Amino acid sequence: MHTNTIAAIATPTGNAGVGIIRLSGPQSLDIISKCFNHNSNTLTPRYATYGTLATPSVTDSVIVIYFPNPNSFTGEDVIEIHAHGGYFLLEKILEHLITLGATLASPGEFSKRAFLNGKLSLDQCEAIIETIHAESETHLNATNRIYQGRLREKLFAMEKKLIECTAQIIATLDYPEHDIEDATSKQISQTLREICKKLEELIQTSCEGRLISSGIQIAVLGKPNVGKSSLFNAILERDRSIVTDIQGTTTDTISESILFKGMKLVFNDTAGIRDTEYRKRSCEQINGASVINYGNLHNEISEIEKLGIRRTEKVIANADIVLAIFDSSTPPTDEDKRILELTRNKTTLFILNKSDLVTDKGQSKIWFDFIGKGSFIQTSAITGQNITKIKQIIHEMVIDETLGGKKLLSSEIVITNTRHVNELTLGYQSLTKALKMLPILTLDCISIDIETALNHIGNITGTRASDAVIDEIFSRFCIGK
Amino acid sequence: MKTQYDVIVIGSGHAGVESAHASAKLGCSTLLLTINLDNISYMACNPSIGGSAKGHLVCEIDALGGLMGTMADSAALQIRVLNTGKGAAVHALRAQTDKVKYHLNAKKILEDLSNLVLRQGEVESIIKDNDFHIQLTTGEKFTSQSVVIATGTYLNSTILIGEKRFDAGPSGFARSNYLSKSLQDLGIKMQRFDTGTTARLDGLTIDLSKTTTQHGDENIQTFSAMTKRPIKNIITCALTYTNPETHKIIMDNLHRSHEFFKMDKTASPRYCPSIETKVHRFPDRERHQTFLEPESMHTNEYYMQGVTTSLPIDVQEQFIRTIPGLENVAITRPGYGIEYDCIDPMQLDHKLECKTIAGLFFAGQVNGTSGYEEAAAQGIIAGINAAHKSLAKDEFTLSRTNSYIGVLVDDLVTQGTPEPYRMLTSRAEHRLHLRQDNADIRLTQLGRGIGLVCNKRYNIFKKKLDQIKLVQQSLSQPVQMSDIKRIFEKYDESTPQARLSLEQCIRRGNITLNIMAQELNILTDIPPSVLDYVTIETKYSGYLEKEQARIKETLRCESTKIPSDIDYNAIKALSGEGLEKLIKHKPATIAAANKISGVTPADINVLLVWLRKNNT
Repeated sequence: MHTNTIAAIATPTGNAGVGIIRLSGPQSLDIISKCFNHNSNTLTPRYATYGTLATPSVTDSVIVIYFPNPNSFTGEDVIEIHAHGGYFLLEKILEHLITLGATLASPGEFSKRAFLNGKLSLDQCEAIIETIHAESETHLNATNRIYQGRLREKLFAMEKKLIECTAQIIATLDYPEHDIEDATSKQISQTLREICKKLEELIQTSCEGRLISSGIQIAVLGKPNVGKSSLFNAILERDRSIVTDIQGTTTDTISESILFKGMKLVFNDTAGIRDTEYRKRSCEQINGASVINYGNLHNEISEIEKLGIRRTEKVIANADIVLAIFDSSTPPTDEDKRILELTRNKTTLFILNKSDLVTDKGQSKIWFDFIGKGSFIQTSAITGQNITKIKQIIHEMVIDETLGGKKLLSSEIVITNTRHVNELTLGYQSLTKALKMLPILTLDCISIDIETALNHIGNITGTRASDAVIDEIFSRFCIGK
Repeated sequence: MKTQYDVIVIGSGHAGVESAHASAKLGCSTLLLTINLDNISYMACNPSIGGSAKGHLVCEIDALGGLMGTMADSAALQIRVLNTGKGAAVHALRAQTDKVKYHLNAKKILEDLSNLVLRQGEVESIIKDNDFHIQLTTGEKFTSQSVVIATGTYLNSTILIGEKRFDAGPSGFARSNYLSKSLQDLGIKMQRFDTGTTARLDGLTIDLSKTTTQHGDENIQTFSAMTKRPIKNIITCALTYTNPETHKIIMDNLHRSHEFFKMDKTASPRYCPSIETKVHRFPDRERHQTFLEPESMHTNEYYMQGVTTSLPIDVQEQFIRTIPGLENVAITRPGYGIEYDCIDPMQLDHKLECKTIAGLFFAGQVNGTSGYEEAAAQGIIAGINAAHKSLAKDEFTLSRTNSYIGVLVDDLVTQGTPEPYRMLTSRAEHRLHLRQDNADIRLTQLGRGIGLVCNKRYNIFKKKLDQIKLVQQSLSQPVQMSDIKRIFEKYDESTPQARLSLEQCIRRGNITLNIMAQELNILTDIPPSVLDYVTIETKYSGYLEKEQARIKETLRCESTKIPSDIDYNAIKALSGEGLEKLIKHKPATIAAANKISGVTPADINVLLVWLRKNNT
């Protein structure tokens, strides 16, 4: 049985009506009771409980289901939180759960636990081993190898400094009567601050990493009848054969992904109203055997319809790039103006569609003036004009700042592996704690924090902190009886 | 004469003595064989016990009911607490010890022990059928169910002084000529290590006025809970330094040191390098310190800490006389290097029993360690398990999570050691929990469980637990604002705005329960050591809670066993290097596998999945 409690968003990325966050482990009940307005002992096993989940930044009406061990997917105590979909909201909730004591699940960790607790059958075993193993050498493609190499190089440099720092501390602890200079607080804090900053920078690249792993989020905006769906289909149709979703779970009509030049582009339609029959189906896919009261869900969907605009705003807020589609054969309307307003401050590609119907040059000029300085492209889903170019421009917007106005991918290294992000974050937290405690507590405690940080980094590089520190001590200091 | 024993211990150094004592105490008829009865608990190197991490081992041996703690206390000439400014977890006791008294005390304690027979003689062979048959060079034969080998540096040892090499044991004792071969015949893999010691000096020829006097600490704790009176400091040590002239003499004669032309490739200890190694490796250092330490009240001989050497005698004399205070010194015994056979400890399990020969245990320097404390710690584990083997009782092992002894044994049997292994605090990842002040709380109940902790010790322990409970109950009581102001000002702490409880007070900076008890005249009948313990547990509580979570994780990994007949080749998803290393090291648990370098976290996950699949 695992001792820690893991959490992750269980539903695929992209905007859906409902998103599920799963908690698994011994503290699941404890954690949920700290943010849900129902006492943990009023949660009836396997029954949906409706209530309010509050985090410092967001509050949402959710359904919580408690699966006590061993009758759960993982065989541990599991809590499922069914919240309103939307990456932003789900991430905020997840973040809060982690501050309450959960650990971010590694890829495949829920399945791994399910397997270890005998919840998955043997034929699924090999597949899980593959998932776990995906991060190790044989599965790395060339790009990943470069990534791994560069990351290691950076981490080795940080490790070296931390090892030197720890060795200085430990040498005086282990050889108290030797004339070794004591590590001063000033030296230690300087090193720790430096490494903290570097780690922070690396961790921040994971936001860029998300662009690669969960895809470039593209919001598709446009009033009805601008030809949005035919354009949408035109973009996707050509690539139907490679339409893919890396998680391999669902083809969602609200959120469609394509792979273009190795980059995952996720198109999120901002239409808030969906066919309820479809939604019910996708919920079934997502939840498997979970007991769901569909009546409640229907109610929630009409709720979402009312909040259509807010949802649209959220999708835009979460988007890396916005595609704003206009019908260039008719003059801009108030609705178009609202759309233009919504795209302010976002990297936007304006699409002047139905270009085949535009005969009047004056008409085009009206639209150019309307858009102003923004990037645009004239398209026709009917003639196929410029359709393929859209993807090309999006790709360039991601990698080149001159086109998009904002370069989305900038770092030399981008952390894309969730486990790596997790280890680096834990390492960063340990060092921050060491810095905080340095003026208050003694070096025996501080050395533990630094060592913990080293171990987290070592989980990526493979360095064993304790051995490395001892080697460093003997290479640097002249000690011995 | 009796020839059949439950347990036979070979070797009467610090490991053998603890083994024999534990075995006899647990009710086994025990024979202790030694080359010379005058080398029982002999301190062949430094006349001191304890120090960083080593002091922890002594307290743990004591908490389990072993001998070293009480013996060190009773033979102590001076005692100090090291690392006082660096945090409670690394506080370490160190005692200068009367080596003559220590030896005599140990000899008498063993002689008085029922169930234990002491016998001088050199072992010629060990033969195993259902029992072990041991034959001495004199022709005498003994039989037993279990055997503990604790032969230190005596196996095939060679003494090295400059160009001279001769076959002898340490300190002029005879070496063991046959046992190493006999062990190899049993299939044991040997390796060859070397170590060394310093010259001994005639104290009457030292000019102490040219040195800095090193005093002991007054009224501090003892190694053993059983020692009632505080240790009196009856000697001082002297600090002096080498200088460029010393280094020049050493460098000029480096080619005459055995280390630079040794015939066999041996592993020297990084943990106590010779002075020639130090000078050679750190040429920029202008001086190296040396402590001059009296060896006993029964002799004028001094030990010189930090100046291990195997240079020729004329060079030793020449360079030592360049050191301030030693200008006219007379050497009583030259420093020497010693090469010896020891085993690769990876042949042992956590009981320190040989994996391939049931009933054969190894403890101490013969396992590739260095230090009296490391030896004694292994001795008690091997002794208990050898006894349990004969008594058909369950095994007794310690974990990395409850003791430095556990760390020591685990490191040895899972990692092996390429050089003499010394205990270091940095090796203990759970060191905030593994402190000297709670050694009894961690281990005495375990010692009681196997029957090694006597009633007297157990009652002292239970009383301590009661006192701790009492103190902890009083922590919530509020302290008057006027008192807080007075005490905090006195101890240089910023005065808090609101009234605090006793617990909140002792969380602040330098404030301890001892201070509060004294200033408020409360908890007057509680001993300072108990107040210290509660203070530490309170101040460190945040760290200790995290530590407990880590300990749980370690225990989980330690308890996940890997079957010895596992076919790693059949597990397809292992990485190439991981596969190779796992086949080579054959880890017994996930915890052990996790420590092998080259085995990745992904490999560990694959292993876990595989184990699960094959267990269900």
